[in-house]
Amino acid sequence: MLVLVVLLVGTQVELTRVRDARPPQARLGFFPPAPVIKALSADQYQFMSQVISLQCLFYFGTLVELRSQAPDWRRIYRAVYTSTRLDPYNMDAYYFAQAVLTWETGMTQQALELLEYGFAHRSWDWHLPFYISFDYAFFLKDYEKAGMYLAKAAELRPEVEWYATLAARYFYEGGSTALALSYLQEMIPAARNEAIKKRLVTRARAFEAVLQIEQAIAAYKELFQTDPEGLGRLLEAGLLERIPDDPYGGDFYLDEQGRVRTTSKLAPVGKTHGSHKN
Amino acid sequence: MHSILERKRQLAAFMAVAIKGGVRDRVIGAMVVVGLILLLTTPVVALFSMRQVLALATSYSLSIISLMGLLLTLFIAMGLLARDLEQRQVHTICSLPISRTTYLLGKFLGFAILIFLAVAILGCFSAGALFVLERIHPAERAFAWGGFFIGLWFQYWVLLIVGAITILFSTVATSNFLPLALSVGVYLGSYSSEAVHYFVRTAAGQKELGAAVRLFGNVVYWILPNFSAFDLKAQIIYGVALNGGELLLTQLYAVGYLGVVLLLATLAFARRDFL
Repeated sequence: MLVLVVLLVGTQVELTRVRDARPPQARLGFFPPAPVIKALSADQYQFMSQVISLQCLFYFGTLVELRSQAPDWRRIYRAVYTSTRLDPYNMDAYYFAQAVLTWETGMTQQALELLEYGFAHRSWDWHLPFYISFDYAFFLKDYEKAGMYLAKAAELRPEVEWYATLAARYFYEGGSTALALSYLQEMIPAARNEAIKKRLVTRARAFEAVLQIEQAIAAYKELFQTDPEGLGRLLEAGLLERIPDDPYGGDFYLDEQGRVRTTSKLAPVGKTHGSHKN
Repeated sequence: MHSILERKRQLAAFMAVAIKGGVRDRVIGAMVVVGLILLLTTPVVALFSMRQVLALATSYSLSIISLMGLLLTLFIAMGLLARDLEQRQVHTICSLPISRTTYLLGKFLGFAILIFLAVAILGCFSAGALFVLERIHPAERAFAWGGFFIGLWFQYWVLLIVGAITILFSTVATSNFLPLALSVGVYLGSYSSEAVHYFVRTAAGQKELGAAVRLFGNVVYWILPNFSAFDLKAQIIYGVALNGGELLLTQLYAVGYLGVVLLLATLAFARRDFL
């Protein structure tokens, strides 16, 4: 009896070690195409869809947050795609796609295709046109489509007045930092998963820092009728007490066009997936 | 008149035997245990959701009810005839002035009551868990309680049809495994037959598939029950509106399909040689 228990515990510990050491590509697993899963799972396909989106979340959470390894983004995208084809109403899959695929990987076009597919089914849900609008404006600079989707979000959520005015206010006047902050402030309270929430909060802190610098630049221009040559000028003019910290560990600077940039490119140290373009 | 009353009495007696068999197998107790597990695990599973706690809880509950219902259906329906055949009780019954149709229908009615109780028990536990979760994590759209119970009702009819099909296979099969394997195959195929039937009629289907495959797709659709029509999970989980006319049509279709399968089963059972 004791020998069997020792054998069980020993193999379990070793198996855990071996399984944990698998490369990122192998950790998410393989999901057959949605029609195959649907045919084999009878009426369980909705739950299968949920299971796949949760697998993506666990994969992302453990790999990125705990182990600081780069996930296999293509595999994540394919898994989320399969999940939405199994259950086109699965909001977890869309939320994950929006929170992770756009910022982390630059797969904005793929994320948009998923979200537009979702909105075709979840036609009552204001979140999806809101996300789509943001992606078109912030990542693709397609303000016409962004305005169109934000108008749809406003129709579905008339109690939020700023939706209706946001397009005109931000899309035509520029200022995508403020747009990003507005968007993140909507996303964060609803984020239930800690790994995702942490990412969003960090990003919001970064945009708050950028916005603070941009506001100081605007004040400098008004005072001196010229662009500041560097961030040091803002300190000298007393418009900033100190250069805000970049939560991603980088240093802020002004590029040749006078735009606020950071050496971290708004990605965790060692990663260069995204960059802030104002 | 006397004959009809006698037949009803015999029907009730066989029904009672089937129910007692289920009680003897502790089916109801097992469902209460599964229901309690469902009640306790639903909130835990649901909390993994990023944005739709109640939807995940509902999806999980309905999946468990469907899976447990299927296992129970196969278990009970397989045993209805197999046990009597193995213990040669059928021989005794056949020697009495009792019609085989009465025997089979009585057994099926007992099965139907057991499955109803099982779905009702699991449904009540599930509703309890969802009721509490709805208060803790309210969804943006109110939970469709009416849709939930209508969905369970149609799930029950799926199980009735699967049970009847299993009984039909049992009346002609000489091994226990064959009816089980065929019933599982029918169950899986019945959720895909509608999609296949739709595809073979599209332009892409006409172009990509040969005539024989298209014919096969059509034949399978007409033979297998169309369980996709009974699947109301999207409507229940996400509050998508139900179509009353479609529900009525599905219910009538279910009655018709069940009737035909039971008729075939009684015909096959009446012709079976037990000697």
